[in-house]
Amino acid sequence: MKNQLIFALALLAFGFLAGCGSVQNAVVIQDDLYDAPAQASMPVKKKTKTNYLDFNDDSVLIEEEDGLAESSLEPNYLNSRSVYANSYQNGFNTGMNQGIFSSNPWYSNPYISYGTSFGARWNSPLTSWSMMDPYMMGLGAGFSYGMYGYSMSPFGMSSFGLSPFGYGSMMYGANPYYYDPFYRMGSMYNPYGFYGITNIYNYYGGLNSSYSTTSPYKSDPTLPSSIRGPREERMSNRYGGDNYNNTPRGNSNSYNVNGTNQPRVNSYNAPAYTAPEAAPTRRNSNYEYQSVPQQRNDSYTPPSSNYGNSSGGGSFGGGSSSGGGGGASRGPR
Amino acid sequence: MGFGQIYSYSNLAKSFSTSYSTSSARMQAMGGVHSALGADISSIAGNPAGLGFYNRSEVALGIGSVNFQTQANYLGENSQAANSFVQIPSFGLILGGASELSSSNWRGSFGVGYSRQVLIAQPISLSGTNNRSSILDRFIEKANDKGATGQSLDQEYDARSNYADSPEAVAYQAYLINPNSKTLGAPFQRYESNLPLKQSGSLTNDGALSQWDISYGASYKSKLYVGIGLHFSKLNVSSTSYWEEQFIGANIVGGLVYQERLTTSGSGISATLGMIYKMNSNLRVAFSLQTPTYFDQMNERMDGALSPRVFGIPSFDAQGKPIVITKVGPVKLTPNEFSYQLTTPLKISGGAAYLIGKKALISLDVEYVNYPGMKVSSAELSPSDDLNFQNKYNGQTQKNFQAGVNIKAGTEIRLTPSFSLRGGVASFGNSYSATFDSIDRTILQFSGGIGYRKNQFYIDLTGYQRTGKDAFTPYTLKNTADYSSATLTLTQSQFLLGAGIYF
Repeated sequence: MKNQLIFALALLAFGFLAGCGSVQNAVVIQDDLYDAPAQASMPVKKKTKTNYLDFNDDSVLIEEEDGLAESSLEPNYLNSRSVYANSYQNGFNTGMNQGIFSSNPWYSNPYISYGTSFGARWNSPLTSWSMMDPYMMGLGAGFSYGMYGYSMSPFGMSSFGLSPFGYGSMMYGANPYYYDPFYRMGSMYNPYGFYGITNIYNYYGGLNSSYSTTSPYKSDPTLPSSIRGPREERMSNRYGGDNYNNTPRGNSNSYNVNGTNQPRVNSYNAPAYTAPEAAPTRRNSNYEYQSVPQQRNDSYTPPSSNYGNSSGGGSFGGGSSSGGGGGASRGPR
Repeated sequence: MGFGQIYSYSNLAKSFSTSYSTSSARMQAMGGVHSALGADISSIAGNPAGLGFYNRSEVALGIGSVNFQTQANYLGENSQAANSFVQIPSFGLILGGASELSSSNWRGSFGVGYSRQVLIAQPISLSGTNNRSSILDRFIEKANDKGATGQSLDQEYDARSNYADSPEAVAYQAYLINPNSKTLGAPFQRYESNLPLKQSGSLTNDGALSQWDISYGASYKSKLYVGIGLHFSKLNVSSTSYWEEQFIGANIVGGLVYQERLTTSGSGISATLGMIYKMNSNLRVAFSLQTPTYFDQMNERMDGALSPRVFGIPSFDAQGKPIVITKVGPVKLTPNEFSYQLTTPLKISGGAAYLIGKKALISLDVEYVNYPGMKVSSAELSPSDDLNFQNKYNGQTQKNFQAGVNIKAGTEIRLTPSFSLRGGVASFGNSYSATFDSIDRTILQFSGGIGYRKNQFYIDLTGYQRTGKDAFTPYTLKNTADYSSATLTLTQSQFLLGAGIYF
């Protein structure tokens, strides 16, 4: 509602400002959606070729601007490549053999790729910038594998949240270059190198898929490789042909109107506690435990004390025993 | 994990293929109509014939502040989730036809641009008190169904990596489910299963399908306009699910947290053919066809982890002495990687626009999207496995989805030559078949905006809001009385600022 209000206010303000400027309505504003192009009132005279030294005609110069000069039948001596036919190749070879800055002419430098070669693509400012984009670092919902590593923080629901885990929505933020189809999501340009889910794969490059060695899942070379194959709707990640069948998927993701949510037992508020059976041992030993204390021996009776009890066999209570039978009586005289 | 259901390949194909109005701020304000209008940056990714209307060159950019909201009702409790961010939905360059060709019958314009076609960012958050089931019951059913024993689940676990191959094996290694003490296998059971439990979950989506577009449109005698476009798509999506349970009044196991993450990336290519015909100076009709986008390699990776919360589980140590386990570390699901090929549906659009002089226009677009035509396959699999893979998921696609019909209508009123007021409405038809469920997932959109235009530049401001219904089932069980789904109300709103410069 707040957003709608802001939008309405902006609309009114904009309308007011536009209204103030309406005194200039006499000016024709072109809008190609409405306006058809203006047609030439008469056919444009076709250019005819003339000699270069005809100073009254500039068609050759126009040809040059249009990039058509080389098509002239007569040699155009303003075209340096025509005069020095081999200079470009010579310059290229010089640059290739002797170093980056030695090419002459400069444009023959083999290291200048005008952003179209493979090497230029890797080092292009767009690629470098996109990997350095702060929006790409640890934004969005973090995903922790730690103990109770919740991602329920308020930042986790927003793509601009600063997740300490570094995964998540690398694809969000105002970074359109991230979607460059020629952009390879390698980790080699990642200054931090902790994004594990960076597929290094070539566009239309076939099965050239691998994962970054900086992946937290792969940091231990002894770890088993992940399982390949289609997920079987969480039936098992283990790939096996017997999982393939065309059975209906049941009520998956459909609204279940049959759920009663009734308690399993009527007395769930006061469930009877029954001692559970001991869990069998299993391979996972990543747990903490306490030793079970030894069971008491029922035949053992603790010694009784007779403080204040005059009927006991002994008494620290006073003088002589009045009721006790036999035995020596101990006590102060 | 029930969350995995929405990760089904047929559902992913639908998710990656569902595109709403993705045009410029000006066209978005008019409900997304653009096929019959032209002379807009939307023509690059939409109907390329519209490029033929350009009389000059233009560079344009759009910036949007988008907000996704989801209201969920699960087991009688309401929850809300939101996701907001700023994005660049489109930018582009149009090189208008050369003026010296104005005497020719043909003139044309070339456009190159970037556009975001699909935003996958709808979050889900839900919570409720469940008296009947736990997600552990799902794992128990899976273990029972495959005839697992404690020993067989043990064999799915690698102690060095702490990976287990299936969710039921993960639950077993987390000491949350146990085999029957007599059969040493099914039926598996969990502790204190009669207790109610507090469940809460969230699903976070981050990703988009964007594309680079290269298009050319030409006009013949300013009457017939034709165009062709080539689109290079890039997809990057990450979905993270989080599910927490707290057993109320428990003495043995207090709860658990189960998380899954699926990341998918891929590159695809498609083409568009389009035409616009001026019936007269006021009426123009349009037709365009967008081929299915073929993603030659969709790479995905699935991770998961289960963290139990333990009070005291009786067990034995290695020497057979009785112990009480007081804490169990998280157990991870073995990562799953896969690559497959995806073909998105064919789209056919038709439109008409009526211009009331140069004062106003109204326009209507109808779009047909053949969702049952979505296909997945995998060259990574053997031919027989690939055939089974296709039969299974393409069969699901044909069964669960129907062709969608999207209808958009919009208007623009030029209050002054510089100032325009726009509005529109759009309906994105339900693409789930009637046999899937009874929910009408039609998305309704209302939009409006203003524009200011001079001969050298323009600036547009647009706002729209979409609403729709959906449902989400965290997990399923054989007995439908034992689990519940969440009903969802989806909202997406965006404020768009578009600007362009003519040259």
